[in-house]
Amino acid sequence: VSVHLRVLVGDEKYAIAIGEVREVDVLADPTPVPGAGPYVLGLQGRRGELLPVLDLPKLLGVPGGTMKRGVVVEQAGVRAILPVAAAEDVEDLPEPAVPPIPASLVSGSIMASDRLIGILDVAEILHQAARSQ
Amino acid sequence: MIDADLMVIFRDETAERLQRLADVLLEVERSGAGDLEAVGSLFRDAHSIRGSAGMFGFDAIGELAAAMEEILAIARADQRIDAREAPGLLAATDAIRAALDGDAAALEPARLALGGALAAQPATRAVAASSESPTAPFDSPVPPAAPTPEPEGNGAASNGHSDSAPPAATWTAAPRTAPLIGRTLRVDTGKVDKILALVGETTLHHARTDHLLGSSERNDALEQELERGDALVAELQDAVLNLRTLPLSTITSTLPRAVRDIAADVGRDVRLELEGTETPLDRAVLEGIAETLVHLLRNALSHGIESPEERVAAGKPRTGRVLLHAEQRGGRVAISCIDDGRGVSETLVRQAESRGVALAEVLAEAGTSTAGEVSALSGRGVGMDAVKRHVEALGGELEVSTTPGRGSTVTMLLPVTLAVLDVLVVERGAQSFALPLQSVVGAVVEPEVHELRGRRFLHHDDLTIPLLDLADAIGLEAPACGSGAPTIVVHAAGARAAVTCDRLIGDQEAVVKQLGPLLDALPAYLGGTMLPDGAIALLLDPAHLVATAAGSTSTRSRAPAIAPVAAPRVLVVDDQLTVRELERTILESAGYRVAVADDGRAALALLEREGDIACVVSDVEMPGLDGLGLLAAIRALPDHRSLPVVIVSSLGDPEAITRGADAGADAWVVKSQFDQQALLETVSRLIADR
Repeated sequence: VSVHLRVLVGDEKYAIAIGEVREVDVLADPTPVPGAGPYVLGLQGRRGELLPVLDLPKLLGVPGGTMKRGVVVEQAGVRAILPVAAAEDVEDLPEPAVPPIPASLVSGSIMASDRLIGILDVAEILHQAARSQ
Repeated sequence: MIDADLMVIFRDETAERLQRLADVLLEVERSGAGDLEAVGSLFRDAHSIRGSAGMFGFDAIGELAAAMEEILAIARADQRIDAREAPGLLAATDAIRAALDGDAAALEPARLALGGALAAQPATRAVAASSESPTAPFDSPVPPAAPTPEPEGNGAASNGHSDSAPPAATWTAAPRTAPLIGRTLRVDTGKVDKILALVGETTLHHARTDHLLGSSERNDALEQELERGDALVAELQDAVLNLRTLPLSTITSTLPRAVRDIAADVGRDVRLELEGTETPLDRAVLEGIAETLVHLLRNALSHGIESPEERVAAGKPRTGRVLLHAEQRGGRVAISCIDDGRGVSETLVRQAESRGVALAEVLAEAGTSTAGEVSALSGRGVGMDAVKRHVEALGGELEVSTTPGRGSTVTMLLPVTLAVLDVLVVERGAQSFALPLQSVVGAVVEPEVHELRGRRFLHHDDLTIPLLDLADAIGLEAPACGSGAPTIVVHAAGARAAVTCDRLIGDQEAVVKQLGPLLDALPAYLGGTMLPDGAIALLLDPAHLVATAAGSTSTRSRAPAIAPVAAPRVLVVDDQLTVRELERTILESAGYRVAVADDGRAALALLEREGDIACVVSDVEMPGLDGLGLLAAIRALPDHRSLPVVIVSSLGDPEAITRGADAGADAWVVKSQFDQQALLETVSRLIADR
């Protein structure tokens, strides 16, 4: 088992390994960055640092809805904010299985409380957002 | 030659390695033994200390480190280290630490103790180890160390560090001398930037508090406190910015050597003088101009200063004089390269006058327009366009003045810091953007606009300047600007552009923040900044605006066609800053462009990113991916299979050389015989063979 932060994106459930989560914050209106590609919503200031806010619903192909929280993630020194509808819980999740459908942004999936939860591949999400500029 | 600043780096680096040595040794002592990883770490640190101590002339430290290395080489062959070795090695690290603080008394006893430990090893082992090191045989009585030359030009270094002092017995009685180098604290630049970012936040917080208080609740006491807070925050910001600065001498210490080499190369007799090298500059600016300084000096020597015979014939002193002078000038730093050579040709001076443009501009053009003839004529034109572009990219300016026959002065006017910038804030599409104020020529109120072939131009000050909408320049979706929209003229890279926006908000001092790795690749922005109302303004790159306004096809495709053939680029890989800098200087003064990486992984990443590396010069012992690992990885890359790789090692070990040759090394240079001519010849031959 390993510890994850469970989040809600639209109506779907996802989880992020706790080691990749720096903090969860209120999501402010990001400042758009013209030319930054389709998956970058803009910039948000956080403790004197400017962080890109990624369009997580669009990356995942999920109808977005209102995103109220921003999860600050970090992978290999690269930080970004992933907007989510809600940050639900921090809990131990069993080792995930291969996701039912091949999706590069989800590294695995598990069934918990009768719901399918996708484990987000943060490195791949950051990579995808940077590549599509 | 080696000055105080390089010494500080040496000391910091060595102190860091001593700390790691002590940590690992203590762990070995605690657990009874150390594995190959521990041995590898110990060996690398001892090895590096030996290498840099040698380069700085601290032979006594170097010899002790060499003795440590011998013991560790045996441990490495055994793939483990026994806890019994730890006390002697710990005593050695303590002795080196004390020597750095000015007390060399313990060096020799520590070395004798280690030598004794070695002699106790089985004989075959000791012989095997001795082949890796040129130091004295340790099974014979240790003779008093040979006298060593004092390190050149560094009086402080001679205190108690020279082996020419009386032998060990009297050393203990020697008085403790003053610390070798001023105490410094080595801090990661990221941490300093973090503090700077927080100071910026504090400023904003203060401004917001001020705003929220409104006018009703104010009284004199509160007003005073607010003002005091304001002053404190400003002072704090200055203090933090000051942390990011280093004296110019950080990068000038290697120049006398570079000048000597260039002078020998081009047959000139030259004396280099340095003035004002204590002038502080931001780290990022310093890093940006290191190469440019060598370039200016090279120009002064090859094209400014005449041959000794010519000088004598012209009634000048035989020895030419080049002065590198730095001073603060207003909010900027002026670094001038002044020579007493032949000066810029009168033809070019007249050309500049008749066209009404700056001499620097004419020289930059002359250096690029055609080869040979003009550059010989211009005297200083070679590569001047590159220098000019470089200085402008840092937000500076290049100025040239000359008296034909008497000499020239090339001045770089540079910002003291890149972290705080005066900006002009404008609004477009309900979003704020910032422009570096030094790139703003002015705002035009009622612009005279002309169209030609579907493109718009602004006629202003007798100049026709390409005009574009800021929204179009950066790909912002916004309704068209209204008539009479403000137009701002910016200049960069010797060209101008006019951009329209919705509104001018005003100028202010801004703390510049990076956009981070995900957005760094965007060419339109230099960074971002927080405005007092909490909004973020993207900082526009004037060079991008100018290039976009000129039409990317015309500027981008023309540039390579007229650029001179660039010097080959050499990648130097070494985990030690001192060695890296030394090699960089040697190669740069020979005219190469140099890229650096601090280990194999960084080198591979750089090779993948930048395809123009013509030769790699790599150390063997490095943490992470070592030199031989790097070599193997390079040979596995389809694009770099035939890239020449020179291995620089302090190991003359035949086995290591064989392993290197097996892995495909093109050449092997031994550091202890480190002879810059050999390195230059090797690199030049390998590049020519390609």
